[in-house]
Amino acid sequence: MTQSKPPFDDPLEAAFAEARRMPPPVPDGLLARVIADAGAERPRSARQPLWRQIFGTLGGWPAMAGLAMTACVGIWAGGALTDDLMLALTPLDAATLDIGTGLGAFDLLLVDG
Amino acid sequence: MTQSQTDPAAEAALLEAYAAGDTDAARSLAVRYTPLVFAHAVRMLNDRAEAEDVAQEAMLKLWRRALAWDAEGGASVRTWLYRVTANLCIDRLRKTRPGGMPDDLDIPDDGPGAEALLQAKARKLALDEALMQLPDRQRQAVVLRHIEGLGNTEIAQIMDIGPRAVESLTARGKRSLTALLSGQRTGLGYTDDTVETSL
Repeated sequence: MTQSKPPFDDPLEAAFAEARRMPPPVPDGLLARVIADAGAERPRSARQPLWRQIFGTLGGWPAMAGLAMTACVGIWAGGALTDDLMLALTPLDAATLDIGTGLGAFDLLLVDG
Repeated sequence: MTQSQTDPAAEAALLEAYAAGDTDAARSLAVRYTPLVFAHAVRMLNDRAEAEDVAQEAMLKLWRRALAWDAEGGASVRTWLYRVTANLCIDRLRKTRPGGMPDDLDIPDDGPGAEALLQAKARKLALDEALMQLPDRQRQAVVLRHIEGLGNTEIAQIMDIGPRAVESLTARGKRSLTALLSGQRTGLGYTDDTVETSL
C-alpha cells in the first residue's frame, strides 16, 4: 500500500527535496546578535571620532611629540632669556650699546634705528 | 535546485563598506548569510543549539576578516562562509560525538494535511539521522550538493579538493543514504518498489 507518495521515484531525492523545502528557521535573536557582533567588531578605523582622525592625519604621536617639544622650548625661551642672559650671550661691545630703554632684550632693535 | 551564483565583487564591496563603518552593509550581509550559515550548521550537526553558536561564530569571523578581505583574489563570501562553517562543525563533532536525537523541527503548517505533514516530518528526521551516520566529509559534500544546491566546482573550492573527488564523495554518500533510508521505508510512506529503484 502506498501512502502519500512523494513526487519523486527515488525516495532519497524526495527526502532531499523536502529538506530543501523546509530549511531550518533562524532562531529568534540570532540575527540580532550577529548584527550586534558586526557593530562591536567594526574595524577600528571606522569607529574613530573626528579628533582622532585629524590626529592621525597630522602624523600621529611622533608629530604631536615634536610639536609639543617645540612649544615648550618656545615658552621656556620667552621666560628665561632675561637681560642678563642676553648680555652674557652677546658680544661685549654690543653690551655697551644699551641705551636703557627698559625694553630688555628688545632695545637692541633700536640701535639700527 | 542550484543556488544562484554569487557576485564576489558585490560581496567585496559590501565588506569594504562595512569596514568603512556602513551599518547597512553589515545588516545586508547578516540578513543574506546568517540563514545560510545556520542551515548548513544544522545539517552538519543535527543540533540547533550548537548550530546557532557555530553560525554566530562563523559570521564573527567574517566581520573580523573584513579589513583583510582579498577583493582582488575574487573570493566569494558564500564559499568562504561555507568552508568556515563546515570546519567549525567538524571541530565540534570531533570533540562531542555522538549527538543523539535531533531537536523537533519546525515545519510550516501551510502545506499538506496532518498525516502527510507527519510523514514529511518523519522523512526529514530520517534523512537527518541518516546524514549523521555518514563520515563528516561525505555528509558535507552531500549536503552542499543535494540540499544546499551548490555546483561541484564551488563545493571543490569549499572542501579544498578536486571536482572528481566531490563526485566520488557525493556518490558514495548517496549510496549510503539510500541503504540507510531503505531500512525505514515502511514508516516513511514509501512503497517497496520505490526503494528498490534507488538501490
